[in-house]
Amino acid sequence: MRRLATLTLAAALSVLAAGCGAAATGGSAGEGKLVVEDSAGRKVVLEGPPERIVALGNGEVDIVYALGGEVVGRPEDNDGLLDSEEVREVPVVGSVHTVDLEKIAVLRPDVVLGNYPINANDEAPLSTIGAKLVLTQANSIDDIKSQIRLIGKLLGKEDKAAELVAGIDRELSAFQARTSEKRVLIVYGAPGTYLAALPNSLAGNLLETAGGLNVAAEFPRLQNYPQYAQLNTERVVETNPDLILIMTHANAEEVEKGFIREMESNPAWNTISAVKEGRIRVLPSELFGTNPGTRVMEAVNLLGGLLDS
Amino acid sequence: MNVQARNDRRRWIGIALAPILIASVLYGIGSGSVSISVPEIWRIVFNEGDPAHEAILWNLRLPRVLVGLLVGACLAASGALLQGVMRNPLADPGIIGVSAGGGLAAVVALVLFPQFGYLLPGFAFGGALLSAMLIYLLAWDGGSSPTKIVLAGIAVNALLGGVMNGIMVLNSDRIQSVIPWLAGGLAGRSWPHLQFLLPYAVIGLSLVPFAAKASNLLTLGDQSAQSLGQHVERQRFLIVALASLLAGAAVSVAGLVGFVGLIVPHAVRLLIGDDYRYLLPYSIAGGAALMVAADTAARSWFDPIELPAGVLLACIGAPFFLVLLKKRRLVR
Repeated sequence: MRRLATLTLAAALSVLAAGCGAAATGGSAGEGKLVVEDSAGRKVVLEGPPERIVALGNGEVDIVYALGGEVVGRPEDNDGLLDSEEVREVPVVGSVHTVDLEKIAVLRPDVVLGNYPINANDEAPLSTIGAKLVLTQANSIDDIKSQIRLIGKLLGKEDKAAELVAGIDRELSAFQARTSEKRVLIVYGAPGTYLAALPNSLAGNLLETAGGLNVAAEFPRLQNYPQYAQLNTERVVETNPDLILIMTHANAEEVEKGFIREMESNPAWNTISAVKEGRIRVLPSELFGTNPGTRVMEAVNLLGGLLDS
Repeated sequence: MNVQARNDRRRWIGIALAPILIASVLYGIGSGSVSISVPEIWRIVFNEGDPAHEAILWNLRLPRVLVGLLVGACLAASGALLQGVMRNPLADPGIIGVSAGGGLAAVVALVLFPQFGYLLPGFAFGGALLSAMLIYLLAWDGGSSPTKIVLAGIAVNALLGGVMNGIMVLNSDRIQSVIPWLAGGLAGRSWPHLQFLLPYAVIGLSLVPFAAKASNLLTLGDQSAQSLGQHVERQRFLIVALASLLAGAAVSVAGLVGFVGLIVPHAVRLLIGDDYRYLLPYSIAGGAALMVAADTAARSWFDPIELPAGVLLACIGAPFFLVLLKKRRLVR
């Protein structure tokens, strides 16, 4: 029993530790070379604009296509973010968590777009197959805008990227003045186990942008935790959120039923007025299960709608 | 050590356990991340307190303390029984597959079928009992032997653990919700969990006294036990079944907090010796007190987050146990 727990903890820790391994690779750029600085602060030197790109996250795939580029390898799209024939024909090469080197090698990519910090340790293996790793992250709308600019630079489509970012900024300005008095708890997980999305997670950032108040922001000590934390149940009851939003990966309708059933039948939760009055909503996984890429404002608009209703 | 001294020690430790148990319950009810004063607890008892605090006290703390008492008691009893019947000091509820089976079932429920997550305790309980049964069947060869059960247990644990890790690696984008469960703890547990656990715990714990005499004899070895008129095979089966029921019920609501089952009986053994007539009840009381205290600390020390109690149990329990091991020679 202890071994199981130790293994799991070790696995969790190794995911965390992966973030510490990113080394900066400097170097002067010669003629015709393309130098990009990625989210890990690494300077990646490329021989020229990459022709063959593999993306390990769906958000990045979406951005590449929105910029008029294409990828030669992509991750599985379990959450249903990408809805185009063109993308569906691209071979699947694992995900940010399971990098399938052989499949990637067959595709002979110049660049692999990975996640920081999850893929920080994949630089060495990828370099053995001649691919350069570019790391990005998407924990806020600003992060996604940087991703768009970075990928735009890679593709040589900086104008199109600036246009997309300007589009996001235009839609954002509509939200600038918006504030909702609604206090919201975003829960991540499956019924029975609850992690709260903190302000430094993407969902937390989207909620704040849409004008909602994240109850997890009421605890300054949580600032040091990465993205999600198991919030104390007593604190949840005490903060008494007006609305509970649920992020999950599976079939939304069934999960919604499972969650509501769990919460309503568990006295630890059913004294919260949001549960009593049925203000629990499951967020669609295609927008909240992963990085939504250029569709990020759809997610914000959806949250805005939920806050108004 | 002479008999008189040992009997005295037993008596004093037995007497000391009652206030320890009461203290842990009071700690569990009085402490938490939201501070509720003792006078306010009185007002709440008489229905005059702040409704939010009343909800916290009645629906969070009280059921959690009660669930903790039963979980600790069941795991400690299960561990004590298994160490005796397997004649193996390393035996704990993990050895009969309860944690691997329960863990696999929970991972399947949480990762692959989150829509049925509200059935988690039943799922885990079923998985725990099935894998215990599987191990017993695999070890059966015209009769059972402790060594075979332990070895079959290791093999089945490895197999189920492998499948579980496989599922987790393949779905690593959605395992965050599983980690607290695997670490073991009582976050969010309330009356429905107590309701689920209570019948099994009551039946299991009330059968424990009947296993004391047989456990004492089985530790002597099969042949000695047989020559003393024991039905070794039947008794071993019944004791393993009882231990599986107890541990399975505990794991199904608390996740993998197996440490209690290993450490508490050993700690009690170091203090009072191997006689199961004392070892079993003392372990039950000690396990209950330890589980409640650890869970309370896990939910109040780290406010506003909550640590799985299993993490705290391991981090504080293991060094404490080592000190005990160093200081005392085994009492025989």
